[in-house]
Amino acid sequence: MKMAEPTTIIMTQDTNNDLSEPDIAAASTAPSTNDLPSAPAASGALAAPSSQPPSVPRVSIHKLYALPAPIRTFPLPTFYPSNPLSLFHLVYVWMKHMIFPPAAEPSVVHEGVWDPSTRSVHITDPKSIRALWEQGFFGKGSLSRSEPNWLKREISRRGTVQGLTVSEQHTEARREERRLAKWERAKTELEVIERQRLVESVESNGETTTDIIPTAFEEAAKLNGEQEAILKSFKDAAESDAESSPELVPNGVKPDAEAEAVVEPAKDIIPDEHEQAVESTPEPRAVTVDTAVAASAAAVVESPAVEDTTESSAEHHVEKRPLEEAIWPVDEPKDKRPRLEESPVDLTFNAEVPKDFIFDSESPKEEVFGVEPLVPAVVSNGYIYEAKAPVGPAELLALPNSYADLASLSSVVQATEPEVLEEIVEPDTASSQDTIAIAPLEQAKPPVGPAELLALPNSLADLMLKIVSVAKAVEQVDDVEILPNVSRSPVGPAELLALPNSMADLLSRAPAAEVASEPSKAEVDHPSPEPSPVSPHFNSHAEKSSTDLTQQNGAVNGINAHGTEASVFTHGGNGINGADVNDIKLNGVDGVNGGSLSSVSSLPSTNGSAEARPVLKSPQPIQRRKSVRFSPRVVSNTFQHFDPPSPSRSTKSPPTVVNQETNGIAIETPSAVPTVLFPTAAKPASPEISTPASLEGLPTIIPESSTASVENVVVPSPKVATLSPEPSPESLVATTAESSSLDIAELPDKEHFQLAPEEAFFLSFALGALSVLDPVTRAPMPNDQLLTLFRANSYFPPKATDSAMAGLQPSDPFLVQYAVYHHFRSLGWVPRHGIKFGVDFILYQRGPVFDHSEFGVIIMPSFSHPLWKEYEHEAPRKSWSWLMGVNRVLAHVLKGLVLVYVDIPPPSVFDEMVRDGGIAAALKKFTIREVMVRRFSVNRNR
Amino acid sequence: MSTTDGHLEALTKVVLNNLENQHDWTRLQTHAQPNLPRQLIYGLPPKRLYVHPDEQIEMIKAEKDRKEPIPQAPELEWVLPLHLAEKWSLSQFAAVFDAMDAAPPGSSAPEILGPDDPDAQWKLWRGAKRGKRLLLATVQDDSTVTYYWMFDGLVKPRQN
Repeated sequence: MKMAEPTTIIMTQDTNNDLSEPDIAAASTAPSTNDLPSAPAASGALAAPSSQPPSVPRVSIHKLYALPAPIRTFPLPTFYPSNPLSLFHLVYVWMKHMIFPPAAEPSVVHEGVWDPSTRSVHITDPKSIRALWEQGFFGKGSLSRSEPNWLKREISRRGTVQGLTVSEQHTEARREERRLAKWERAKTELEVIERQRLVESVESNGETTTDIIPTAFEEAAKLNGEQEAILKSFKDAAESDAESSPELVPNGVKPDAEAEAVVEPAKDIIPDEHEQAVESTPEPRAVTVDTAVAASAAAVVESPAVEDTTESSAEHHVEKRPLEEAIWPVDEPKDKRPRLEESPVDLTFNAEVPKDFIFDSESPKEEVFGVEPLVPAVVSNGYIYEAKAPVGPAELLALPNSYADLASLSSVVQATEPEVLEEIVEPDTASSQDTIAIAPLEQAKPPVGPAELLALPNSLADLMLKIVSVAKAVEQVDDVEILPNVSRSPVGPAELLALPNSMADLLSRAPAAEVASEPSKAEVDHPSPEPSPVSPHFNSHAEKSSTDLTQQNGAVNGINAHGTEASVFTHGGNGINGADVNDIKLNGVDGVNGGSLSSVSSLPSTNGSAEARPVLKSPQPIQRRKSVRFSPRVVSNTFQHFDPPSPSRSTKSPPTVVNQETNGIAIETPSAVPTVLFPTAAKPASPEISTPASLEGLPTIIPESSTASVENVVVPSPKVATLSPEPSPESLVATTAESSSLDIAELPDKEHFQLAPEEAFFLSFALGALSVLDPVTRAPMPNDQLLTLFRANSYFPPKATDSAMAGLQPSDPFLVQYAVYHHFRSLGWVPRHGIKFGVDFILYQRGPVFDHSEFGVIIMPSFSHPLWKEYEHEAPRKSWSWLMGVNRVLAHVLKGLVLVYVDIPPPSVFDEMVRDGGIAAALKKFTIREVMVRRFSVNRNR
Repeated sequence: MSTTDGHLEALTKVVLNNLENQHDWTRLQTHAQPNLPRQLIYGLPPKRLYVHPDEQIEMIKAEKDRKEPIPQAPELEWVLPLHLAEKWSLSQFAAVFDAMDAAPPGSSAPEILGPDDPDAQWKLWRGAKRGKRLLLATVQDDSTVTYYWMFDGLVKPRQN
């Protein structure tokens, strides 16, 4: 009795893969055999689509493919000298194996049939197929890349089981995508070639055409990917700005020849004066001015220019024009418009001046006295260059230097777009244009000077604040000051001190900024010390009227820095050093401007908030809106082979136009969303429903079962379709649908599982896990007969097997290949045939499921034995170009090339060994040498 | 000799099966000729397999005028089944090319609608200008079939 019970246990262990013996199985078997019984079940469910329960969890591939070969081992547990219990465990397991030995491995012997037509061994039992595939990746589906999934592919193509795809489909889709991309590329390249031909023909004719050549160059530049992106963004920016202020571009395009890094002189200004201004930059005097101003983000070069320009002519010129402009920034934009109409100054100028003015005139004198640097300031923003291609040195320098730069630029551009596109009726579009144009001005200015470099945002928090401020700037059109102020990066000690010390700090600032009312917001948004008593001080300024404010402003600005410093110093109780106060002063001035502007502007706040919403999304990339086309006529569509199998998954396919004329209403449906439109259009009673023309292309996707919702909707019911007045196409569709659905039910599996001769012989001879049956007699073939068969069939046409091994040699391709296969298999590699890569074998470290193969193996038969001189043999003749080609191909797919030299024993030795020791002894005479080949590229291997 | 013939037939069968079921070809036929060393296969692939670079240029030109992509209907193609263990020489391939026609029987070239047809140029490439080409279908014993294009003579390389 006691004997009987454990034996049954062992029996179940065999069939059930060790699960019935919990303690010992866990300890004694290979570590991860436990989950194997569930694996075939899961795969079986995959093979049979009807019984696929969605609730079955996916088995990890590491568990599924745990066994490297279709045999199991039962190792003894490890003995730890420090742990005496492990000794008992070991003794227990050993005793158990002695008394109740596990069944001899391989416990399962699979059956295969030799197929002479394909010269290989076919496996028909699905259990064996799964076992051989999962335990060592033997064999291949005859109609698949490796794992047999032809049936799966067919089912998924017919579209009955949702979400069932095979990798071949992904490959197909990817290739088609690639083909289209190549077609597009060929198109553009052809265009360039034609243009070049045109240019050359024109040149040969001796004419000088100015307009063709640049376009050709532009086209050539377009091919360059990165440059194209940059150019495009620039052009977008320019266009969007051109929308808001159409005359901007003509104004902006006036780069001078001797243009310095950033400062682009206006044409009105005398150039030498400007040069002088720039030359003065490195001087210490200018530097002192800079320190007073340095905190602001605007160009350095301009502020010294303010001091240097004392020429009367310059002032003269300035007084004419910019004096009135100098008032603008303080003015309300509404005031601007009437003035615009009467004055000859164009809109561009109007749009540009205020912010530039505010940006660049950190020194307050400019505002009041209208010193001419205003005019260069207008032009000097990096934004204006963008209207044309960057060909000069200054323009090149003015290109955006960083991605953040570009992003901010585009975000601002986008900020303008929603307003324009959605046509939100704003009471004052001009004002919004103003603010919107500010941002590019400030942000698109490339950091070429030292101060700009310092003024770059140092941290993410900085950048975030900037973004918030951009949003705010649009929300309240007129607190222009926020922008330069907030984006000012911490270069002075005070700003450094004023940086948010903690996240909480930052958070407390942000809501404060949002909650604050209009005038106070200008102050709250400053990153510089906002809790200081300066802000209330300037708040009081802000509440005054506009004209007053200009006066006030002038007064405040007129006082030189020391005066303000002093006043602020008395206010600010927290001991601040001089530089700090400088900054506060500047902030204060800005605050005044902002406050005044906002107080005067009287913007309806609701409108402002409405505008703010699209702008807040500005850091995100531009979102294209869906465009829906409506066409009155029926459009048919043919489906390509690479199209997704079923309409439910066809979201990525080009929209199929399904046109339905019901009740005189033409409804056009993209195929991705037929569910939405059909239920409304197709009332069940209406008999005039005609099946959409496009459906004729894919009759197979329409099942008669009502499980798949989408197909169900597309054709409400087959009966309706047949009822419809136009009989021929619909009935055809319906019948084919029925027949195809019938096909799915009993779709014959045309694929068979095929073992190459090397694999079959390894399984049969080395592991014993396979018995190969004769196709006629169905009798298992012994190994030596199998070997003869395989050797004879490794030639094409195959040699005769019955004539007493006539013509068979130890250099038979099969023997050589098998020696290599056996060698790598026994070393733990997974070799598979590699004709796809032009090699004999490819080596996987664990298997094709886990990773790509690492090496390609090329077998080089070597007749190095001295006795081979007596026999006729054909040594491999491979050329260097062949080796280069193979190496190139393998390097392209990231595989190493291994040349495997097989020393073949001469026939006399081989036959003797076969006679004495059998196949194993004979195979031992083959020796294997591996040589790894790697291309040495001098440049890459330094 | 009967064994080799049987194996050639088996080889053809393997390739036919592979083309039909793995690669979804249709209208598959075998083609035997007395001067052909073995049977050829021809059939209709699911999508167009080869576009001559000059035809591509003509098509792009024609597309520019008609503002929509020209549909690339698949053409009938020749297939020559081979086994990996075989050794073929150039003269054998040349014999195959000499024996076969450029277009498989039953293939229809798009008709050119008069002398003013803007599509005449690329249509020629599917008719008169079509060169001899065939697909080498190389069978390995693990059921892998590898396909390679082979052309008669020098052919302008395809734009990659």
